[in-house]
Amino acid sequence: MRRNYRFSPWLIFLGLFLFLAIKLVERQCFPDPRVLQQSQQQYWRRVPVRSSRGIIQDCKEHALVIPEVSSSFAINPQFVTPSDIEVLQTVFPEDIVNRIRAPGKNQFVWLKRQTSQEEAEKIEALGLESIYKVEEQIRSYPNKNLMAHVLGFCNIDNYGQTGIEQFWNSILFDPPGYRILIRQPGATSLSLMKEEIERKHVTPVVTLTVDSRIQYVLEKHLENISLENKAKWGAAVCMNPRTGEVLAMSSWPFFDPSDRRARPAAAVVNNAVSRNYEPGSTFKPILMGIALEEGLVRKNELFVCPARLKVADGYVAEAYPKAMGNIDTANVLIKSSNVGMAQIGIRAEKVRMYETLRAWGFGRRSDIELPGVGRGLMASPGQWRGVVPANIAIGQGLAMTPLQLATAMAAVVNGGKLMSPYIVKKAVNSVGEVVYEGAPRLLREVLTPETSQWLRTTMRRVVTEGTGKNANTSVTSLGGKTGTAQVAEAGKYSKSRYVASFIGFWPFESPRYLMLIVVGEPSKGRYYGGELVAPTFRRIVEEMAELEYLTPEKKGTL
Amino acid sequence: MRSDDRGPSSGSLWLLWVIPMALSLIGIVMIASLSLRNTPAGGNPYGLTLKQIQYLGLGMTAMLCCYLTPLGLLRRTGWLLWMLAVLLTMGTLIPGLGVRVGGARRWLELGSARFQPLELLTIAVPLFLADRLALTNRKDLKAFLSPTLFIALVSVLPLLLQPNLGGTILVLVICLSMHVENRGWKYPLLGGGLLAVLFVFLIWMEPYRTRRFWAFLDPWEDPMGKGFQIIQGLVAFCNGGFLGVGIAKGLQESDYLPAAETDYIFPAIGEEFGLVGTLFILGLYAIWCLRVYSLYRRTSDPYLSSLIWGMAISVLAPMFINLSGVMKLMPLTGIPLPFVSAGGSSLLFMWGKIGILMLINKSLIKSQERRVG
Repeated sequence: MRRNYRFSPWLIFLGLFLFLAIKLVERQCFPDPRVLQQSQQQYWRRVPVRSSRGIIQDCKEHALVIPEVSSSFAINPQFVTPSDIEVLQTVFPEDIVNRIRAPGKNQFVWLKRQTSQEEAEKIEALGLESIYKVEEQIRSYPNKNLMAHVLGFCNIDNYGQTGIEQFWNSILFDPPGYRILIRQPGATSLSLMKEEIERKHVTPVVTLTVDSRIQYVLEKHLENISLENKAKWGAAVCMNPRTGEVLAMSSWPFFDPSDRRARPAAAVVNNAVSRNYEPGSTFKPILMGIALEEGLVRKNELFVCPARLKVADGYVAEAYPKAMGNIDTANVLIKSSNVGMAQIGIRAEKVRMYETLRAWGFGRRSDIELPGVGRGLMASPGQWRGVVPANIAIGQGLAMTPLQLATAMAAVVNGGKLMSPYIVKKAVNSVGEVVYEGAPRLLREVLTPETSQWLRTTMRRVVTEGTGKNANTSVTSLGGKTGTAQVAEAGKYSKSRYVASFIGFWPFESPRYLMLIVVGEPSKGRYYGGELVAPTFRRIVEEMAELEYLTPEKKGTL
Repeated sequence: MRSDDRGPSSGSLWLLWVIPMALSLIGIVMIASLSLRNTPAGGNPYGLTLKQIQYLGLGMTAMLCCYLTPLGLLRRTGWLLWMLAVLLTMGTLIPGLGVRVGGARRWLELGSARFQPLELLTIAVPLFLADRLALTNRKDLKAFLSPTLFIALVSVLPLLLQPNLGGTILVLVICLSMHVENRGWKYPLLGGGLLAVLFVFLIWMEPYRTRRFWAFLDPWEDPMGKGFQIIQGLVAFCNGGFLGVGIAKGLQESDYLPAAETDYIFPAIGEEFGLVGTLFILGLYAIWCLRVYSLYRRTSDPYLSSLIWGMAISVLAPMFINLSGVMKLMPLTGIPLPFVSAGGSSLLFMWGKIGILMLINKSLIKSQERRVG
């Protein structure tokens, strides 16, 4: 044996191998938390992508609401010096300055949210370090208050509160997106991941069936007529009776969607879809249609019409206290005879009439893409006692929304097809997918084409020789029906509160437009639909005809 | 003869070259896996892999050459080889011959090929020192000063000037441990202590060494700068966990893990094959070490013992230095992992060492046969 030492150096290898093995287990399976954190963070990073709330546009793709960026300013009171306060006092109202001055640990006070360009520049010019700027999104309305009720508005955090903004919030509200970026080590720059992995990101768009030019005409006249007659409320709906698409929809009083402070609750309600009102005579063609279909009345029947007719416990009177004498079925409508309609109304079997009206969509919500849609009011047939069936025949004693009436009237004039109304043509979400496409939807056939044809001709005569003469125009062949409803007040019909309306369609042989204008509780004396609304209606039709002539694709078709 | 010697028919020594072969092949697979991802657009993704296969071929040739050289010739020419190695190492300091890479001149440029003379030194120093140590049997200080310390310092001098701290440590470890194997612990421990003091001084002197040293202690002080490579190595281990993420699926691409094919190939293996893979590699080295030990125990000849030990330490010491560096157990030194890391010089001379070990094995078998006969 040559070995002349006690400790073999080979043992060092053994020790080193064991030590490294133990350390390897530690490095691989029980790493330092900092290493673990690094491993989890370093390869990629989620970068928020600024998203904007979507666009709402009309059927011609004109934007009705546009997202815009606005600067908001906040301040951290902890960093405010007394000299800052003096500067702030010159620009901001006292309550804000007081809040900044208030003792405490408050770190955040809004100075001014969503400023205009000039305001922003002014605040920035103060040059205070404790002020910071926050970019916020706002909704910009290029057409001011056009269609404000339909569009609705957003709260300050860009959440839809009413109208399309609310109903389609989930589409329009584009959550801040994220882009996954691969991080390059050591560099502050980030390189994009392969494009196919990246989320496709587009601004959401909701396209309406509304034509903003028609809307404009409609709103202009609704405003005029409402202001002139000091109406409490008003509503107007224009639709294509063959498809159910809403071409225009308006509600009075208006409000400015961009002004958060000037927004009375009553003004925000969209009367066209939310308000239940008693339609009065505009309802008569519908009931007449039902009666003809059910065989309750013949087209050539004669009705004896005194000025007042006692029905059970009450009376039905003509609008003008004058007997109409013997008139035929068509003239009941043309002259809008309440007594004549009442005689038809009381022939109906109550439950069956109730069911039929339900089938026409009364008493149930219209399936339109808007929030706050009214249901209408219709008493159950058990409560149809006494004069009620006769009242229903003249459009009293049941309430409906203007949209419900327009939808039902569309069925009357389009050959008997009840079409579901719709106002959204297309909705595209932030990923670029078409999530909704509005299309004509046939609910049921409620009238035979012959009945519809007869009613169209009759309603044409309303305009040419009946109560709706004021609506007659030379630009097209208009058919329509006037309405003057009394407003129920404490169980009785008021003698001073009325709802004047006119519903019309043109061209009457094959209608492409159907429009309803309702003026609620005018207080300037006039209240008859034929007298008050029909002239306005005519002007709208004439202006719309002009629009049509100006539209290249439809030129000369009217 | 010792009782556990199994005689000339002891056949298990084939592992002496099979394990390095396995490690080399694993290295090639790993280099392929890494370079498939790390090759810049337009580059040949298999370029580095093919090169490494060529180097392996060269390595096998080197092994064969050493294996076929008579042992006596090798012993007689040891000094010549050592002189040559030292001269070549000094050659790296001559501008024009030496190539500066990353602040240090470690490479010699020979035509189109680059060559690191340190690798030659790690094979020449044991060859020469084993011969010198076997000449006498004295254990006093003089015997430590010469030949051991003399050879060590002469070899280390050009390395210090390069500067190459890792190489310096490596050569010193080889020399001192060979002295320990031959003459006992006393003077190498003393000398080692002195050298340690010297090292602290050296580290303190050079700003870039101080940087590396501090980075080793706390890489998180500057995670994007000094500590970057260390942290990324640890992250690679952490990513791998127990089973690894799978071959060619590692996230630590070239931007994250610098020198993943060379010095940092072990963390790269750790990421793709997990603890299973790294322990397997470590196990291979350990088994290889055992095989060398069994060869060592078959001889009592001081020259052969010394040479076997020297060869073993010149293979295993770089391995330990590399592994400790990437595992944050000691400062980084830039020593590649034997057999596995990409690189021609290292592979070539590592295989040369295997050739020498097999040559010793052959001659031992021969001498036993002679004795038996």
